[in-house]
Amino acid sequence: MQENKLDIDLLEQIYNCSTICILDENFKVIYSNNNFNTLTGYTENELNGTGLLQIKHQEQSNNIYDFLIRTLEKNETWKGELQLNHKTKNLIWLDTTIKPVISSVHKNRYIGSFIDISPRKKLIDNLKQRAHRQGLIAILGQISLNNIPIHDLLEQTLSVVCGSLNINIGFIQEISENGKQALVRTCYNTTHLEPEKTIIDIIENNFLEYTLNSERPVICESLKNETRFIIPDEYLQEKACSATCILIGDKKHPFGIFTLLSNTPKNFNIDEVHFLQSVCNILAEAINRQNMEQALRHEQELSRNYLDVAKVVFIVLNIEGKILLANRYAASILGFSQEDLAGMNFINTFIPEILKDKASKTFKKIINKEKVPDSDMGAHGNVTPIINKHNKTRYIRWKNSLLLNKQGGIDAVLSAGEDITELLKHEKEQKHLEKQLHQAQKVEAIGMLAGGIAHDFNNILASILGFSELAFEILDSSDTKLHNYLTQIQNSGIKAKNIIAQLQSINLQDDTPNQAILLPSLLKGTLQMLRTALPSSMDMQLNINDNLPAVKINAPKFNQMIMHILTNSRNALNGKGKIEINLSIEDIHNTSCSACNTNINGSYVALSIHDNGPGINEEKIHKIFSDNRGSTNTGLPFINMITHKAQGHIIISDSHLGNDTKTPGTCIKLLFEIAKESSTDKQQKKDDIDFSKIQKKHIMIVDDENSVASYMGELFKGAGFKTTVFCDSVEALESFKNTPDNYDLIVSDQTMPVITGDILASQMLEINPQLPIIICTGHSSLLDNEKAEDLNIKALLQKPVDSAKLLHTVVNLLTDV
Amino acid sequence: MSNILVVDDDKSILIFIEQALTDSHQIFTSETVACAEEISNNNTIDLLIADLVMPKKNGIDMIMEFKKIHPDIKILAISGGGGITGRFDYLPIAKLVGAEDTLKKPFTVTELRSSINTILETKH
Repeated sequence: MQENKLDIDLLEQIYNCSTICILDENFKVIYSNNNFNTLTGYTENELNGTGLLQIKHQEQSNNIYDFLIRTLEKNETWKGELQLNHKTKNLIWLDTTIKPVISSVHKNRYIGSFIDISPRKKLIDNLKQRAHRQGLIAILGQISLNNIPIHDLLEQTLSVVCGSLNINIGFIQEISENGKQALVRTCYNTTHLEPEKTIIDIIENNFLEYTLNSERPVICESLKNETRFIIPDEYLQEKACSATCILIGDKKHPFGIFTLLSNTPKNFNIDEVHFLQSVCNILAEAINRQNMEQALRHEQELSRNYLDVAKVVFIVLNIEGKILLANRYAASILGFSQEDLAGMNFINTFIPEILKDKASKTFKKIINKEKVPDSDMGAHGNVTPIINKHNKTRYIRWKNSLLLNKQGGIDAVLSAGEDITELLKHEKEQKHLEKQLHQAQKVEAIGMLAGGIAHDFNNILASILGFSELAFEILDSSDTKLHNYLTQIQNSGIKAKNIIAQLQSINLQDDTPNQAILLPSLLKGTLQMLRTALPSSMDMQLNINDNLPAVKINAPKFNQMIMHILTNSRNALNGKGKIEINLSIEDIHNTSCSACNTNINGSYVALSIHDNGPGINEEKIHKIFSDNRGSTNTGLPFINMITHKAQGHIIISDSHLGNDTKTPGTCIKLLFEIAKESSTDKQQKKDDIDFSKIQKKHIMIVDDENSVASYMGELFKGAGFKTTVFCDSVEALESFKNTPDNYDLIVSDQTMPVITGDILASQMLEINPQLPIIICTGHSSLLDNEKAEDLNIKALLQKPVDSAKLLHTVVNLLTDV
Repeated sequence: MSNILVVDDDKSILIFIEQALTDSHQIFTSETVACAEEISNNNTIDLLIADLVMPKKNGIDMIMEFKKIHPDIKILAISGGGGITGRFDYLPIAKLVGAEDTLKKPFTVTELRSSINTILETKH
């Protein structure tokens, strides 16, 4: 009995510290102890008759109950974890053992014993979630390193975070540079906010401003009752009740705000807050990195552009002399693509064979940090030619610098090179031009000398011929001997007079415009003078038709042309041979100009100079007009220019001279356009210019110096012209603008206040492009012949102006109109 | 019989012209423009024979000045052509500024006399 009593006490204690219920055959509670009632939250009465299935938590599947029933029906004990609903609908986890009651009295009864494992389950759940989030963060971190576009990164992050935290609505905003506005970049489930459209102002004391100034996530449990800050209307429109905002970036460099909205009151636990914070840190880092990378890329691009834009060859060579890097310009100079250049040995590939040794030595010296001696430098510095892919030589002036590593060793050599091929070419050209100029100056000097000699000789001849004539007058007719002597004197004098007349026709003044000129007499005079310069072993034959119409050409330049051509012929013939000169009128049909390729048709005054020299290679004919470097033919570009300025053409051909078929021979034929009838007439009466016609012309004189202006006025008035004098260029221009047809010629000073001569001229020429204008200028003036020609100023005279020269120029210009 | 003033820096030309014309005219000669001006102020000159290329003053200026001071004076301009300074033909310009006729050196006695006669005839 006592033992039984002890058993019952023991059982009662076990019963009281266990959580137990008894189920009937339908698994309904027929009995539950206090512990069970407390655990589930129901009273014993409420539980009585309730099936376990009825209080099962919705998350638990029915399968587990099927298995439970089957086990018990087999009279076996079932063990497992059940999820039940607490009366408050909270989930409770129960470690459960249910076994059939072994009793003859209580048949089909089951006893269940339960242990509450909810706290443990919750802990495990939390750990799981934390692991899950950390996994998410790791993945996000990984994604962010992949340089995906910021917008995609934000979008993906937002959806992952919302999903993971069970949040209904979320969006990410970007803060504007001035920090005054936030643009919605990406949205999750929003109804009113639109990505890339909605802009919310950041104003004092609103939710956004508060977040910007807060280092931790700002959680607002109830949007309606918030007192710390103002909630923007846009947030309220989303019909949420709670919100959380986290700053992306830091206070100094805010990028944006991550916002989560929830329509149930939401308070995040510390894990979730950490998670959000981590996500935002990842975003901030990713954005920052991408911005920096972009800036770096931009910088690199810029540097590369600088390298490419610079007309400098940049090549980086490793210490073996292989190209590591070459800029675009280097590639264009060397003829290879930048990719192809990489790895090429620079010296072996591009330095001319003959210079390779020297270049290798210099390169070694550079690598060894030895000083490269100045003796290795040319006049232009360290110039080394290269031969590029297309076998063209370019002259490059190099500057080298060493690229050192941290240890002070040499990583590579940076060679910067300037292509001075054109410069050298120009120098050559300049020398050539100087030579030509020198030649022209010589010709001019000869002309001056000839003019001076002719003048003095004419004076002497005037006496010789004059006195011999006077002597004849008083001569006794019986004195035949003296008569004879005087006749000899007179004849020789007349011969001399003719020679001087021809010499004078070579007027070498070259600042006159093209004038209608009769070529036969001009040509004869030129040849007369040149003949003495040609060796007597050269046989010159002339066929000149004296009856030719005039052509418009600058006579001095024509003379120079003939000199050039004959010099070429003399050189070609090497002092021995034939030259045939023909001047006649020719009809040309369908022949192209050797210089300008124009198809020529029509009648021309043709001057052909034909020699029996070795001839010109036909391929070279076109080239010789533009480029006579390396050619023995002098002045062909000049001949080309003068002939074409006279509306003429050139035909150069290889053809045998007469019956001489042994030598090829060269024939240069200059074609000149026939001048119009009126100018021919004028030319023939050159000495009898009809002054009455030009004296009707009206000349405007502009000079700010009163005395000069009135002197010129007197000069032109004295010469019979109608003149108007202005001392003020502004007034002069005004008068001209009012009555431009009133004036036929302008003579103006260059240096004047307000409007200078060149400006005055250009304004007048805008109104009347044909107006002849003469500018008188001092030596220091900036206006030179070239500029004057560009402005279409007809003549530039040096001050003090010689009255005769001024009148001569005016007459020339007015008869030329 | 007219008064003719010849101005030329070449003395032989002066003598030649004087000899050629002295039978029918009163001839004054001068080697400089200044001297010529003096002569013309002291004598009534009908015709000025002026060389155009002379040192110091060019003949064109001289012609213009003479025409200004003595509007009735007749002028024959003579020149050997392109001189060192001018390098172009002055003779047409002489006509422009009022010379009645021009002669290019060397000219014959006949040419000289014929030109002078023509000029002086138009006087009457």
